[in-house]
Amino acid sequence: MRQRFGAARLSREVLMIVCACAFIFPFYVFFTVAFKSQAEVAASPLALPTSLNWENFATAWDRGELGTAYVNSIVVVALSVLILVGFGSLAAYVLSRRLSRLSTLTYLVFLLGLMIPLQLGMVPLYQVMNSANLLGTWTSLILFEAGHQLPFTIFLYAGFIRALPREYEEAARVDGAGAITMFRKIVFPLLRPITGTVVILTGITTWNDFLTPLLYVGGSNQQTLPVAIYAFRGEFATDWGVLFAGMAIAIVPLLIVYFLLQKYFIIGFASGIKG
Amino acid sequence: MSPITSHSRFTPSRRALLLGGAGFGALTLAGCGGFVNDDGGGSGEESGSGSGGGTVTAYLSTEQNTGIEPLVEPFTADTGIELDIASVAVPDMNQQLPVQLSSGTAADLFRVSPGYSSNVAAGVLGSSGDLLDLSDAAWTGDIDDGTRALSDVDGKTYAFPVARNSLVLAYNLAVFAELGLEPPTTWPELLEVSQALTDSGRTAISHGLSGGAIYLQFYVYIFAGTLLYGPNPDLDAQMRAGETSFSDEPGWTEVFTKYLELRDKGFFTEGALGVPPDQAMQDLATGAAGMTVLTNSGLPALFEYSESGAEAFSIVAMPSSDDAGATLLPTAPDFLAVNAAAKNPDGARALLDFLAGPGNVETYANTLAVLPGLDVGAVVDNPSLEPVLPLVDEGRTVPYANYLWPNGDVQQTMLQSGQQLYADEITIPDLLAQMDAEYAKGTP
Amino acid sequence: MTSAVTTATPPRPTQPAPSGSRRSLTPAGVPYALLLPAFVLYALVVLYPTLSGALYAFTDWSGRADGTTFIGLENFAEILSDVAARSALRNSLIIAVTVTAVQTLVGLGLALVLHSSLVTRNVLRTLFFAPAMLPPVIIAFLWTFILTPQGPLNTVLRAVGLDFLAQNWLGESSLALWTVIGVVIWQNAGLTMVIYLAGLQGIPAELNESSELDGATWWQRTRLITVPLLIPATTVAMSLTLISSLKLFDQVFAMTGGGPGYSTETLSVIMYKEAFVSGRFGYSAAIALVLTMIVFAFAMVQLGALRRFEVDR
Repeated sequence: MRQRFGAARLSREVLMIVCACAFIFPFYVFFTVAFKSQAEVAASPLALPTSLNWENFATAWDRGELGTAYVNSIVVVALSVLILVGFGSLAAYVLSRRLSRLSTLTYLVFLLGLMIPLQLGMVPLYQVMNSANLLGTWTSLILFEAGHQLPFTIFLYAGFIRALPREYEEAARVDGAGAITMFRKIVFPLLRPITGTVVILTGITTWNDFLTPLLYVGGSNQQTLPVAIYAFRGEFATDWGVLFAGMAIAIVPLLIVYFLLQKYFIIGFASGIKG
Repeated sequence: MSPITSHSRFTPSRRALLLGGAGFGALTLAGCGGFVNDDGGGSGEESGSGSGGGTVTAYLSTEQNTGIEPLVEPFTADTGIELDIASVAVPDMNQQLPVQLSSGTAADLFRVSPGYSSNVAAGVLGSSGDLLDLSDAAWTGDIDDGTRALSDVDGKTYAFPVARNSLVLAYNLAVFAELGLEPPTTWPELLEVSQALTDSGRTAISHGLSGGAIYLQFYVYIFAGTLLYGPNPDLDAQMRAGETSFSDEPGWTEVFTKYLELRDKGFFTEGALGVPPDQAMQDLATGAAGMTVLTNSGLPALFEYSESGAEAFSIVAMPSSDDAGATLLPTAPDFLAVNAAAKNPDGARALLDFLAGPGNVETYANTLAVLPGLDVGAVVDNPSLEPVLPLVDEGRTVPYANYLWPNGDVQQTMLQSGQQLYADEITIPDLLAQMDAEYAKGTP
Repeated sequence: MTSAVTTATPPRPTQPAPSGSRRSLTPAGVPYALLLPAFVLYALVVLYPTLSGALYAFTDWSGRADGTTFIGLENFAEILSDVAARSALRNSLIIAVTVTAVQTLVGLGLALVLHSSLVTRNVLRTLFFAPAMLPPVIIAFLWTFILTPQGPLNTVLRAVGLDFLAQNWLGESSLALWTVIGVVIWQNAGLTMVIYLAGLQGIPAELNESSELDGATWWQRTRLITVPLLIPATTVAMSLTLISSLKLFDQVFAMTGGGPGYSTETLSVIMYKEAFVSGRFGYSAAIALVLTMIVFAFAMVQLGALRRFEVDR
């Protein structure tokens, strides 16, 4: 791609940076509160912290046992996302390539999952997990997260597979490839941009999910980061410094992973075709 | 071959497969780790082991967990019983507990709200058979009458008061000193002090109603305590019997009139409906406001907002009438109850017996800087609570008014429609009529 | 939709597939068995629990172990006469329409700008997406703090002489709903952007380059090539936004609790309150069922409209 460094281009760059800074102003509040003592927050809510005070972070880390929570969150997110990408892309492939009535109906049944409020099935599912003796385990959370985000995953994948030219598959079919081989070798690699989106969006939802994890693993050694961090909230008063520090510990890796991952995913489809 | 099959295109899928392999490898490695329950059907097999051992599971509020922390080891050393504690914020707990109770997975011991004030209150769960009858415990003799009304159903005790909270008026000492003000002891004095603070360019009483208006109710309980329940302790019984109501009892109108009077005189924070409660506390700490109403359990958080900590503030019971001697201190017990289906009921009761020991009541109360739950002569070692202790010792306390309302919806309506009242979208008679309608629905 | 892409996109395989091969691919080519893992998991974790939960809508279940009675359609009749439910319905519809329209435009705009060759695009993409990474409860607290009458936003507005714009953002019942909508869009615009970015990856770069050589301006290329090719992404992004904004809960609950008064009450919020504050699980389930039907109806209308648009092209 040709690079032209004109004044117009530079101004566009600067304009976007200014917009972004205004856009993420609440993050400034977020991080400064995490570094301040409560007294500093009250005295000058918007000023920069007078010193980099890591006390809130240490308190959050120790009191919330965030080390363990980290491991739990990583295990649950990694396996849920893996299942979602695997099961979801396959299902969406079938649903967008078969054009029968059965296929349309199945797709609608999956879409219904997007529309149903979570609360409706909350108690019955909890009882299923209880009778399967899965409460307090990673398994219960992974099953829940993967199951509940399948509709979303399938919807994302199906939308993009439909837009995918079939010629590639047809070419491979001529070469005699079976359905699974064809999916693995031809279709799935072409899905890289949307797989990136699926990984990021379902990963974040799972990473931040609170109510169901609290119900399933609250108080156990398997509790995830939000469950550990939200326990800092009080009934009438909350130490937001510690809570925000805990939340910062939880999301900074997420921001870094996103920043690194997007470069990888963005190479995606367009350049693939050029290759 | 088409270009898409060139080998670079396979990297992602191969990588994904590797990742998958690693994932399942980890799964196998972790073995029983966090994937399966290794305690075989919960702590069921430990049931029946009596007070001589076993594990007691407890589901506590964040605050209760902090209070009980120093007592966990002594309890285990004393009884050989292990404690397995989970703690969450109160609103989350109120959501989880019904699900756990109906699925048979609730802990042996958990927090319940007082009286009938929520879906998981002592009175509600006591009547539905979800709680163990604790009437024969020795400590029931140490419960004061106000608390007993909230822990008992039909003469049976279902909850243990682990501590008590109260509603206090906190004020900024530096601001009061600068303006030469004394803490108010009567309603006219309160108005005078407020006027002086307002004249000095400050907010008199910082008040934050954003996000659910939970602070609105405190004024109602303060005024109703002194003006209604003080002169007429039987009011709840009369309302239950239908002899009077929010609309019919003139005192209720007076309660809300007083509240609006503070608003109309400009004493509350400007735009209070859009101010979060934390902001209200911060304003008091910085001296932008002179006073605020809060629960004494919120005091440590308030102190955190000031460089000089507890030294910067003092408290007083908020006056509601012309007679300083009539002022009552609204108090609220913080309850623990035992699950009727507890796996280790004896262990749970042993814990309550342990917590009822005078030394332990004291430790718990002083750890949290709250009032002791039982009348066992516990000494409150907390200078910041001293101004209200005489009231507690003289028994000049009154429960929060909502605790004996038959359901949580009356309170919910008061909070939400109360915001409309504050915004002048409805009138006091409108609000009282709405509360009567919810009251009439009875206990679910 | 496939045709929209294939006609606009020159097929790239070096060996163009024989024209008759499409028929040979379907239906035998893709076995339904590949669907099975997803369906089993979905049936177990979503379908079964939801269907059994929906039965409570016809009872007076209080959420506790003691008995429940079958009361037929009584709960649904109550919704019709419930003032709070009606205002919640109205608010949910306003939120859904506004958020879907604005968020789609903002997300599309961000994606178009950040798909270009800006040097800082990777950093910018992370920044604009960042709000979507924080849990809504945290976002809500940050904003209640920023939006207080004497808070940072009003301070800035007054400092630049825009005093008349300084408002009690969350404390005014006529304004609070719009403030909530603004915060929701702020938080989720990055999500829409990410979906559009993935869509933009699917548009062959040389399509743009060749038209650029032909002298088309950036705007012409965007309007005539990029946007039409983004219809599938638009379907996905708009549907997801519509559905999630109809179901909006977290931000409202944490920022206003439905207030001041009942001015920001949504269907999900009253559903929550009925179940967990009032203990009326049966009535709550009935509201949930009604909400599901509304979402379904809206989503189908929207999907149908967008699908027609795809076909028309």
